[in-house]
Amino acid sequence: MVKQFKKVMRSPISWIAFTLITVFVLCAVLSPILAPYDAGAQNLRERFVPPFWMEGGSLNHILGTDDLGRDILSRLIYGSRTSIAVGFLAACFSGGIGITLGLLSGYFSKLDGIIMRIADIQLAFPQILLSLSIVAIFGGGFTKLILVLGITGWVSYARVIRSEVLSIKTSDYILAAQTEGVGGARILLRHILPNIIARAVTISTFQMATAIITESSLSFLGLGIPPNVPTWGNMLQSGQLFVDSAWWLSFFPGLCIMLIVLSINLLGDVLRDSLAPKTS
Amino acid sequence: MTNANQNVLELDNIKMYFPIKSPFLKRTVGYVKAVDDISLSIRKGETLGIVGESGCGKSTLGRVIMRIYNPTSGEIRINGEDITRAKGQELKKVRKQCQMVFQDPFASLNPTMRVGEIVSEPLWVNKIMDKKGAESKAKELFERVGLRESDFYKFPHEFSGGQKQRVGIARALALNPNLIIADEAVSALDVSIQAQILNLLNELKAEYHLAYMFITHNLAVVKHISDRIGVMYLGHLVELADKKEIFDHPLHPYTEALLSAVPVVDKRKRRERIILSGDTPNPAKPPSGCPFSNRCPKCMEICKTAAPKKMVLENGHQVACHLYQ
Repeated sequence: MVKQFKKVMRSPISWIAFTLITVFVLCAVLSPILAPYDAGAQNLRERFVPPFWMEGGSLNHILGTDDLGRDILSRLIYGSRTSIAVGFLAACFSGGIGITLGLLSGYFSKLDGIIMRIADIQLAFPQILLSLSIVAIFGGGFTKLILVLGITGWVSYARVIRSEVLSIKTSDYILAAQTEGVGGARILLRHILPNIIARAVTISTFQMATAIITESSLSFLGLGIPPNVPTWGNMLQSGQLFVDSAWWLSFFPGLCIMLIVLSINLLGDVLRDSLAPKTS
Repeated sequence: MTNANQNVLELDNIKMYFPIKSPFLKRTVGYVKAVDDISLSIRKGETLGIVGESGCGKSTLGRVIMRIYNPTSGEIRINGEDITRAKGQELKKVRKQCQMVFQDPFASLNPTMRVGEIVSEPLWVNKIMDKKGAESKAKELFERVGLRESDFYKFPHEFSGGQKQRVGIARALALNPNLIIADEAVSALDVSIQAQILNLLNELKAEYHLAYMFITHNLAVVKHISDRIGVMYLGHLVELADKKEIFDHPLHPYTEALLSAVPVVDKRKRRERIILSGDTPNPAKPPSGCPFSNRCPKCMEICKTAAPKKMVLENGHQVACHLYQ
């Protein structure tokens, strides 16, 4: 696996993706050290300062300030915490539900009908609409947001995992395990799960990207994280009012969202190639 | 026929019909008769070869015996015990006596498990011994089938096809079965490796008091390893006799045609080649009467209307053909 990982990392694209993700993770972990200002520190005398290369900009605020005079760069750095945490936790949570249900659904044909019909019903709703209604009923906030994203994201895991299980469970090595008297739980966890974990990891990268976008969208709509916490979605939302006069308020958080989603997706490709079980 | 306690395996009128479902309403519109009314027995320490062309149901028969598929009707007895409807713990117990070696050594070993774990797993899962004991027993088996102890912690992809098949054999031996069903166990291997594996199987047979059911399409293999040979065609067992008897006096026209396809070096011993016309019929729509009637060079009027009954001649030679009734 390490060898294959090294081989894949030779391509420049995976290098860029990997570096970007490292940078974002470092920002999230070290935000109090890296950020030049406090994320909430307002300075009403320095509102709408443009980025340093524009007229009126200064190196004190490299990416400028927002409508309340808060430093954009610092807010972006602090915002990476929320985005990465939301993405990671939501992917883990929905992965936990989705992988479990997918395994059960694929292996036990009696459960298959029930689980897949629930999945179909859920797929009939657009994800954002579903998230919106759940948030509208139960309220926003960090924990609830992760729960919502987990509940809305499990279907994409479950469907792929189920189809993988369906094809693996008729393979000779599973038949062999069954005829040896290995029990169902052990077959699922020890024989089937390791063979599909690569697929699950790949899906979770895409799921992470989707979760980050959904979080941003919900925050943009004012339904996600409370506005006093800096997140990229919140920043986009507050910036949109001034997009004519001060484009940098919404441009940079948008750019960050795009870059992290892109690099996570690229990383997913890299992982898929290096985690696949060897067959010959 | 023989005393019941001497038979490892007895099959009585086994039928395995797979329903064909219509695409939308999932109604059963017909059946694929993969195995149709097969009765046979395997004595202790005997090797029964089952031959037949692709799709004749020989692998299905093996899987029915392993209870991977549940037979539509009929009775399976292993060591005299009826296992046709065994479930749960009972089925687990039965399966210890009967293990399988699969055709494709690449597909029959889990790519994510170390081979040592694959071989030792059946021992501790069935609570025959603890994990440690299972490991040392598995190492013994490794040595016995011709693998090194250092191979124990390798993954399947690090082995060649022949070595993988040795792992598969070690796994089948782990539970100390009386009967091993070898489903095309050597077909995926090179000819030189085939011979090694066949010799290994022959050695193990005496050592572990095994009986084999050897399913193959390769007549040379079957001739090398079997005591008795059964010939299958379209889900039916058309002929069953001792190896020598089958090769010297084949009775069923299908067996004759099969044997005539084996190349013989000695010119004087060459048989006239019988070329069968047409393809194997669709097992969902078998010909009425004898299943072989539409391709049989000796087909008579009666063959097209009535299915031949199984006849047993004095020397134990079984055949299902109107020519002998």
